[in-house]
Amino acid sequence: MIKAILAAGAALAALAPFSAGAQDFKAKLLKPDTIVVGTTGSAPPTSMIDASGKLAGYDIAVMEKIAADLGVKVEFVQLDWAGLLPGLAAGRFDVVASGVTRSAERIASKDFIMLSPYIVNGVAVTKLTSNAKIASWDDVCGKKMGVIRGSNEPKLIQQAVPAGCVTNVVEYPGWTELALDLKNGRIDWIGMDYLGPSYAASKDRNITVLPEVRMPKTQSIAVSAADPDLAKAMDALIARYREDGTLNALVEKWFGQKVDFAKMPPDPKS
Amino acid sequence: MDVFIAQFPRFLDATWLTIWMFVLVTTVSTLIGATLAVLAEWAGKPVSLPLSVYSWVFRGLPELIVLLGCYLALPAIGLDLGSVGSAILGFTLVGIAFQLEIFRAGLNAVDKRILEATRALGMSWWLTMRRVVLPQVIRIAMPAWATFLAGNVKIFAVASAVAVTEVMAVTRQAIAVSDQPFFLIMVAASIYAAIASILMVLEAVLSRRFSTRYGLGLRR
Amino acid sequence: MDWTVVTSNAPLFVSATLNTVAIAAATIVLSVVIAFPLAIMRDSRFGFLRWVSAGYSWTTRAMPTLSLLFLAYYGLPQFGIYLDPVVAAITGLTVIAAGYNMEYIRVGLQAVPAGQYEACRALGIPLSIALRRLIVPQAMRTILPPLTSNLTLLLKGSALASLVAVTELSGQAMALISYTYKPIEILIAVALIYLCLNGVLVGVQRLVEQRYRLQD
Repeated sequence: MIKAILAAGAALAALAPFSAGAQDFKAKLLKPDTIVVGTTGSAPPTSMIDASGKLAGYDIAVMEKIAADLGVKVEFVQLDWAGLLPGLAAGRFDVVASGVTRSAERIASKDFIMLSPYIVNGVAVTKLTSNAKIASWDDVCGKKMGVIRGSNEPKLIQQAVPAGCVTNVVEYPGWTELALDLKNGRIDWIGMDYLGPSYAASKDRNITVLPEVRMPKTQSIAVSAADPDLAKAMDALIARYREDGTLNALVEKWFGQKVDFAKMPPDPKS
Repeated sequence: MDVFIAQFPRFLDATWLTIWMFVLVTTVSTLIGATLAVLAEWAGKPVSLPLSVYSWVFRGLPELIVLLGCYLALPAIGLDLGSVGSAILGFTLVGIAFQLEIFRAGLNAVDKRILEATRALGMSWWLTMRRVVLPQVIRIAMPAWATFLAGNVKIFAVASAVAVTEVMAVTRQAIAVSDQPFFLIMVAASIYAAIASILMVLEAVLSRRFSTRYGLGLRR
Repeated sequence: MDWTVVTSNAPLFVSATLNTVAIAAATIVLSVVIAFPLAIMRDSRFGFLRWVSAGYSWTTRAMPTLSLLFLAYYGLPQFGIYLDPVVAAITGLTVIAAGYNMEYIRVGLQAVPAGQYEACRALGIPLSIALRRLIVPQAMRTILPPLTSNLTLLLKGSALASLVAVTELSGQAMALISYTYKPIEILIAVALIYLCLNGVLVGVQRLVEQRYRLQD
């Protein structure tokens, strides 16, 4: 009994500084008592329109949880990936939740604040299940790779393989086009992250993601530089969610597997 | 197919959004574009030169670039129109430039000797415009105007880049959770084709109405 | 303003611009060449030709370019036809553009009074000569402004080629914006490149229009 009271007291004490800051972040929200979130709505399973036509996914679930715990409402704005971070920098949203990779440039950016990791990911080889010629990272040299134009992964992949290994690269606008041309045989493999294609592979048996993950990286939410108090409040919550398993429960729900936050790589430096 | 049925209300909303945005943009840009064309023809260089520059800039830039500018750059100077507002402003700016050229072409095709003739007959400027110039301009400009409109509907797909959930945005999102990309692409194509077809009927009616005594006449 | 995002990526801008120019130039030339016979067919005395040309016009103008490119590049391999990305882009854009160009050309031909054709026929002048020496020069006054207007649309329309794995100017710009989140600098740079390319087109347009303008 006493233990329980002590524990509750400790929990309250831990929450106290964060509650005090809660009012500060509200003052700078774009809409009163509402966090405006930019997201693509077209990148399963982090941000997508589900079969019933509603916005859903890991990013949506995390933001809804955060908003509930902060006692504010949440409103989602959907647009193409290319406009998201520039839109955040231009003050169109309070945050961007769309699987943003925590690259060195973004962590150092003055235009927005990258929160601490909400997922651990890395680059992996995605190929046709029927393609026996690619069985590991060693087999991709000289093969034609498809990537998403403007994504962060091609850079990471070049670091993950020997120099001069991957030279034949074709750029596509999105996953749909990549998957189609993989099946059309125009590309031999897809160079993307591990978790996203794994989700697609769980729905489509023709596609396989090799289990070896290289260049571990983290992803998280980006918050407007105009509202550092919001970033502080959200970061405290994300740290707590990492500890108490909230994030991993959501990761498992949306990606079909858990991630190990203990193996979080250090932040990249430019 | 399942995805399309489940998301049908989204497609319906998106179609409606595309239609009203298109009607608004067309109305505003036609009125402004036609007025500017008349000004450019009759007010001489001080007016026509800046207008030529304007038309050159906004016809030369891809809609995507104009829309992103309206959406991402205007808030920096304190003008925040939201996503639909930015899209409407961007499309209108581009639309005015094209309407200006269409009506300018119509005015140019009017034989200048006719104007001399009306002056010799003592007709006022307003009477000349109303009874002589405008009927000719309309005859020549209307088919091109309608042709432009029919093609312009599809351009509205670009609005998805600035958070407007129009038909192509909804289609892309549906494709992401579906295994029938070609079916959904055909659905989107049919929606645009249906709207464009209505405009093409309008185009056919207008060009028949305004070109009775003209044409190759090989059929006769 | 941080112009290093533009200068440090200059090679990317150059290669993307070359792709844009190649696709736009090929599309402009091919679509005009195809459009003239289609426009004349539209007024042919043979019902079948009129029907084919009207059908072509309707289909290409009703179909979003995006959908046609998507089907041509990603869909045709299901039937064993593998188009190179640039070829697929040029083919798709040309097929659509010809549908528009033929309308502008047809409208121009119709603006020439029918009596002139009849006069040519009465004088026994062959259609080919009548078209070349009499009708087309007159029709050009009406055709050129909307036609060249449409050609600038084609220059911008080449942006859609980014959908079929060709990295041209707009696709490259979107990629760089999403990578550097510096939209203003990149948008200005890309806008200037498009305007230069467009300036060349408009210059040619003015020259040609001058040639066909009525002497006051």
